[in-house]
Amino acid sequence: MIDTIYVENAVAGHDRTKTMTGRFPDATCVTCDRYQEVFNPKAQNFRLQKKKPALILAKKFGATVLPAPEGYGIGGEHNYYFSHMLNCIYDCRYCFLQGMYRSAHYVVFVNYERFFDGMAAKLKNHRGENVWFFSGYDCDSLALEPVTGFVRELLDWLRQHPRAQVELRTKSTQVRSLFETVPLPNVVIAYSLTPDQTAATLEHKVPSVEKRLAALAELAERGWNVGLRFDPVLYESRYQALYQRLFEDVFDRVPQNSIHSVTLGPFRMPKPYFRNVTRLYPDEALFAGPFESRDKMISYSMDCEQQMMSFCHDQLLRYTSADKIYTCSPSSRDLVTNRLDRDNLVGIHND
Amino acid sequence: MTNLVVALQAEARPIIEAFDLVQDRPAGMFPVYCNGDLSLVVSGIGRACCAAAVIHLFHRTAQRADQAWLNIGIAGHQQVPIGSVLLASRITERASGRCWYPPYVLDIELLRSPVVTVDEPERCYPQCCAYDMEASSFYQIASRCSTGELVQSLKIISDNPGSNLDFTANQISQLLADQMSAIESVVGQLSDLSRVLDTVRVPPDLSSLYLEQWHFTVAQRHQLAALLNRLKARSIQLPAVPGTSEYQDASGVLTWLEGKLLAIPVNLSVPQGEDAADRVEQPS
Repeated sequence: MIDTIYVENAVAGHDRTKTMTGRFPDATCVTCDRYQEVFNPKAQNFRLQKKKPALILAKKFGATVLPAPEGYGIGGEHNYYFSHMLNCIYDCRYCFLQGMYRSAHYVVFVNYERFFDGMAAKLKNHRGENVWFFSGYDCDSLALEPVTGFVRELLDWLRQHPRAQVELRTKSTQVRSLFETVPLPNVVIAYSLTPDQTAATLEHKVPSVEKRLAALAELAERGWNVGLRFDPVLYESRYQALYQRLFEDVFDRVPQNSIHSVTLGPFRMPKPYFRNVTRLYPDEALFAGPFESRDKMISYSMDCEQQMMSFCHDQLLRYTSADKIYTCSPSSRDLVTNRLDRDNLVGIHND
Repeated sequence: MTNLVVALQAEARPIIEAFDLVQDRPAGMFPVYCNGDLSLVVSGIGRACCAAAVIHLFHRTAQRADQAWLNIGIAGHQQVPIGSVLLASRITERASGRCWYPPYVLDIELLRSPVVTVDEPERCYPQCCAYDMEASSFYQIASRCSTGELVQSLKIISDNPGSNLDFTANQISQLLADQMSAIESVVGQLSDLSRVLDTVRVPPDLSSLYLEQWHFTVAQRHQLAALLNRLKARSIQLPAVPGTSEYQDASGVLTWLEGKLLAIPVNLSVPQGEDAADRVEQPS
């Protein structure tokens, strides 16, 4: 899987570096001073690199835990995210990472303690309150877990810090490390889900929706809190039938009482990232629209977005209570909240 | 298009023979040999000559972005046996201390090693690296013409500590000739990769059919290209070009194309099973 491993000189002797490089005895190891020398040069093509991404082992400097973007939250007041890894082993055509980074290599920061210290500092800032930390913003939280072992160490840390609430967002079925431990009440394993046929076209190298659902069901059965992430919701002429079917399948498999939260988010991508991905994949039907440019983002038209979100929200209410449903973009949140006010339903908690 | 850059005529000879390359006339500043989509330039020894030869070849050939570029030549190595072939995993320029890391996406089982580019032949071999005299300037300039994945440096080991550095032309040619299958594999894969980037563009004849019939401003040309691209991504067949009697001007044509695009149902899905091979989780 990994043919090349770039190792920063600063972490060459680190135990985790030795463990990770040891998993790929046939890989060529190349040392470098800073990972940016490999990751940032202009002359790189994300699409080509996705054919054979390298692993980069690096040391994280500076801030590790950052405020979550507006609209990113599942009910908590204090929301932060962290990325112990940059890039994802999957290749989803709608993913913003392919427009954000020049390189498709996987960067793993091996000094995990720095992330735990960063989270501890935020807990200290919000004394006595729960603080949410989101993992899986710049990578898949679990997909490379057999190599990195990050989540295993994170869970140990979380046992000692019950005020830290963590969402591990994933599409992976690599859940062994979760099965090996007692479920933690302050962890939500959140699965991103797309209608199966759409996933087959757009989510390359990703476990099928069926396999994800099987992993979700087993996690729920073992007592883990699970999250359902319908983000991005993608427009197709027959999106209603596709999402209706998806929701049926999901709620048929996952018991209601283990569902911590459900999020809905329309497709949106910052304009420069969208420009980059359409250059990489000019023949991709997804990028042919119908989109418009709004607030520096490329997204569906207000009407289209409103219709889709309203439809999906209505459908979700058939299976779960409104207080578990959150939306991921400010405009959609307003749209759905307004609609709920109008319909005299319980408001969506997403502040 | 694939471009090969070698320093010596003796290095070029077996490659010219293997690929049936013919010298391009009239000869320019550097000898260039071509055969269809493959070109080779003989740069002469050293960083400056190599950089100049890359630029020369770029201007001499199609001047298109994202062509494949391969530097082939002999190098010394502290440990790797004479006659071995390797690809550069990191290129360090001794004079400046700068490093480059050619991204590797080829499917070839070849040894990969750091390469240090020096200005004088290296006789001490202080590190476990290959030593050459062109790779750094080759990569620095060629990666301005193309993406790094398509720019690689392949070295055949000619000397180790204690070796005699007075090679005859025949000895050099023989070293290259003995590794021709590896060279052909790398050239073949780089060519395939560059074709991946030869992205699906709007068929030029179709775009030109519109441009011939109506006057498009520069902005309208961009809109036309974008619309045709989107239509092509959405449907198997592009609509037939309407007659000039139907649409008086470019703006009418653009509106017509927008209508066509809107009328096509959005279908992102494919029937189950078509992409099945792609759907296995990557082992880690």
